[in-house]
Amino acid sequence: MTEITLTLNINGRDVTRAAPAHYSLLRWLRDAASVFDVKYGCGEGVCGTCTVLVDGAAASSCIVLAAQVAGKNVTTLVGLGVDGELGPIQEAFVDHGASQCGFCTPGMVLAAHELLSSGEALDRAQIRHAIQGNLCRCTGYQAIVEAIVSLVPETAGSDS
Amino acid sequence: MKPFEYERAGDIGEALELLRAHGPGARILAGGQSLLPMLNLGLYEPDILIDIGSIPRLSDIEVSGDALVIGAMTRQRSVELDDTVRSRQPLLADAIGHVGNTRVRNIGTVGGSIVHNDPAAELPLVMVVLDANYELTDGVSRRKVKAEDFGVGSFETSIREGEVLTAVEVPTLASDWRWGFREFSYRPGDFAVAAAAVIARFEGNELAEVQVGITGVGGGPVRCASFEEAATGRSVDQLGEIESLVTTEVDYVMEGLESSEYRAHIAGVMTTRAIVDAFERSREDNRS
Ligand SMILES: Cc1cc2nc3c(=O)[nH]c(=O)nc-3n(C[C@H](O)[C@H](O)[C@H](O)COP(=O)(O)OP(=O)(O)OC[C@H]3O[C@@H](n4cnc5c(N)ncnc54)[C@H](O)[C@@H]3O)c2cc1C
Repeated sequence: MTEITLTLNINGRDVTRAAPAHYSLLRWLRDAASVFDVKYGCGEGVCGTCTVLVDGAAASSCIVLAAQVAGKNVTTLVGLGVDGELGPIQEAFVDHGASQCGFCTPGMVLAAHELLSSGEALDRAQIRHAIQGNLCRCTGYQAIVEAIVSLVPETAGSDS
Repeated sequence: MKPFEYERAGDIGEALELLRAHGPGARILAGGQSLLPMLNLGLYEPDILIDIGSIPRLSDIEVSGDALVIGAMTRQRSVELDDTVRSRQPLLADAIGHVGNTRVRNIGTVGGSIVHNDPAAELPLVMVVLDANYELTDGVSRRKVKAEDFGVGSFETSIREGEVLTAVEVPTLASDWRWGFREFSYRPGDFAVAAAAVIARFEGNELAEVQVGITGVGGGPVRCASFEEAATGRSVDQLGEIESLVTTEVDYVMEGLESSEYRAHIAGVMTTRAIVDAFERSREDNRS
């Protein structure tokens, strides 16, 4: 088994580990770097549970090799916190009860972060479209959408 | 998953060298958005993946005369958001937005989608409708292949062992042509049950010229020559009568959750709607 040594910047900190070359980013984070806020969902990139940001853009860490993103900045849910406290998106999720069993929450919050980072006004339809690739098996989408709506400067349009 | 080795190629020459050295057990890794799900599911066990993700200039989008030249490693999301693509070939920018979810498009590439050749993929469809060309090299010789001749069947293309796709050459939309793209899928982000892509030039209410393709129906994208011929000179409100011609060139209509008759029907409906969208766009432009 071929091991390779990689350095990834995880939530602002350089982390160097030797691990098998075939490790996905998800497995590398969990098994080599002990980053446990990234969760395994489907292994096919469909469910969004394992979402991380790579240089600010959302990716399914189960279908990206760690080696592919060597040297890049990887942000997990914890990285959206501010000085060890919850960040604004996390706060909004708490305030709106946007988390039931919680398994989809890291991916949802990171998807919301990517969506909101454009700074553009969004309506509910656009928000629903943007999180279409993140599945909540509790089906608690309404509260999740409301949490995101509360962070959009001017929310246009009606509920759809 | 069976362990494999990983190499990152610094340039095309190195990638081709590695492919040659490792033979059939080697695979090119672009975005991995089709390859890694397959590995996770145990559908394929390579000895080595050759990552072409950091080869310089392989992800450039350039204008060359009446065409866009898009590097094989260009991320799908970059194409979707690129101003040049949006203004010069809006069909491509729109259709690519139907691929999977944002995460897939952030990492997945143009070349990867074309070589993977999923029978319902949007990109190969658009390429066939637009008469795009693919540029391939094996290090010794380069060749250009017409998009329509590249796909052989589901997940099968005429790419040769040891060859790499380097770029696609996509004609831009002529100023008096309009476009339409329609896709039917059960949930947003799913692969299409059927999709249709169209470019057309109108004279009044009539189709003066039209290029049409469908996917999801046969083993890949199909150019609908019989339909194109029947539609030329016809008024846009009389397309329903010839809708069923879209599957003339399809040898065998796939069955999925739905019957092949239903799929064929949906392909016809998507085609008509895409043409009507193109027509609406031409009327809007005439008004403004
Ligand atoms: C959840 C999910 C949903 C999806 N939905 C859709 C969808 O709706 N529509 C759609 O079209 N696709 C969809 N896809 C697939 C996606 O578009 C992939 O990005 C694409 O099929 C492959 O591109 P890639 O860059 O990821 O290639 P990879 O997965 O890296 O490679 C795919 C294949 O192409 C070969 N290859 C790649 N690049 C080259 C090259 N330059 N030269 C030679 N060989 C090469 C590889 O060896 C491999 O065999 C989906 C994927 C996921 C995970």
